[in-house]
Amino acid sequence: MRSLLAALAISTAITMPAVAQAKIVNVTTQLTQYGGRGAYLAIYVTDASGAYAGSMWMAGGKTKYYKHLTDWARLTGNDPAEVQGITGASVGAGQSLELAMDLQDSLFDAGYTLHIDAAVEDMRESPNEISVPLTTAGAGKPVKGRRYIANFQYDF
Amino acid sequence: MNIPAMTALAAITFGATAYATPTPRLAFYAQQQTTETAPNATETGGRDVERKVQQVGWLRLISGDDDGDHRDDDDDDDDDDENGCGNANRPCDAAPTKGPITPPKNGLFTTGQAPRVKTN
Repeated sequence: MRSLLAALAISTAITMPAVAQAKIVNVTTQLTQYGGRGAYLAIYVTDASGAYAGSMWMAGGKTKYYKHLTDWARLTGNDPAEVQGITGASVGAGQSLELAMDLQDSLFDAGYTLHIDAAVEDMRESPNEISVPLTTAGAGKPVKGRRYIANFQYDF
Repeated sequence: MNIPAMTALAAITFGATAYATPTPRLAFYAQQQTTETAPNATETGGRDVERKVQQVGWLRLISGDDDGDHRDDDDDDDDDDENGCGNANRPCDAAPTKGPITPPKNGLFTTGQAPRVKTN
C-alpha cells in the first residue's frame, strides 16, 4: 500500500508540473468600422528587454503585405517563417478575431509584452497599435487601439 | 564749314557717347559677364538653390503623398486578401485556416498544441 501511494505521488509530481506550465489564453481583437479592406494583423511578443520573442498569430495570408506591419517586419527581418503554421485570414472592418492558444506559463508576469501591428491596404499603417504586458492581473482588461482596433483583451 | 572736319567731329561725338553710355544690349552682356565671372556670388548661388528647391517641391506634390500610407509595391489592383473579403460589400467569412496547424517552435506555445481560431 505504501509503495503504491509512493508511486502515485511520484507520478503526480512528474505530470503536474507539465500541466501547470501551460495556460490556455483566449485573445480577442475587435476591429473598428474603418471602412476599408481586410486588415492584416501581426500578434507577437517581446521580452523584458524589448527583444523579439516570437509570433503568436498572423491574420492575412499574402506575405508581400507583411512589410507594412512595420515593427513586426523590422524585428523579424520580415521572415514569413516566423508565422508558418499560425497564419489565417485577414480580418474585416467591424469584425473580431478570437484565438485560443496554449501558451507557456512562463510568459506571464515575467516582463513579456504582447504587440499587435495592423495595416490595411490603401490606408495608414498602424505599427504597435496594441502593446500590453502579459500579466495575470491584466487578464480580462480591455485595451483600446488608436486606429483599427476598437478593443483587445486576453483572458484565461 | 569744312566737311572732313565736320565728319571728324561727328565721329568723335558718337564715339564718346557710345563709350560713356553703353546700349542696353551691351549692358546686358556686361551683366552676364559679371554673373559668369563670379559664380560663387551669394546672390546668384541662392537663386539657383531656390530654383532647384522649388522644382523639387513641386515635383513632390505631383508625385503623390508621402505620409506613410499603406502602398503595395506590386502593381496588382485585383489582388485581394485570400478570401476576397473585407469591404462593405463582401464582409469576411469565418474562414478557418487550411489544413492542420502546427505552431512554430518559438517557445511561446506549449509543445504540440495548436492555436484555435474563430473569426466572426
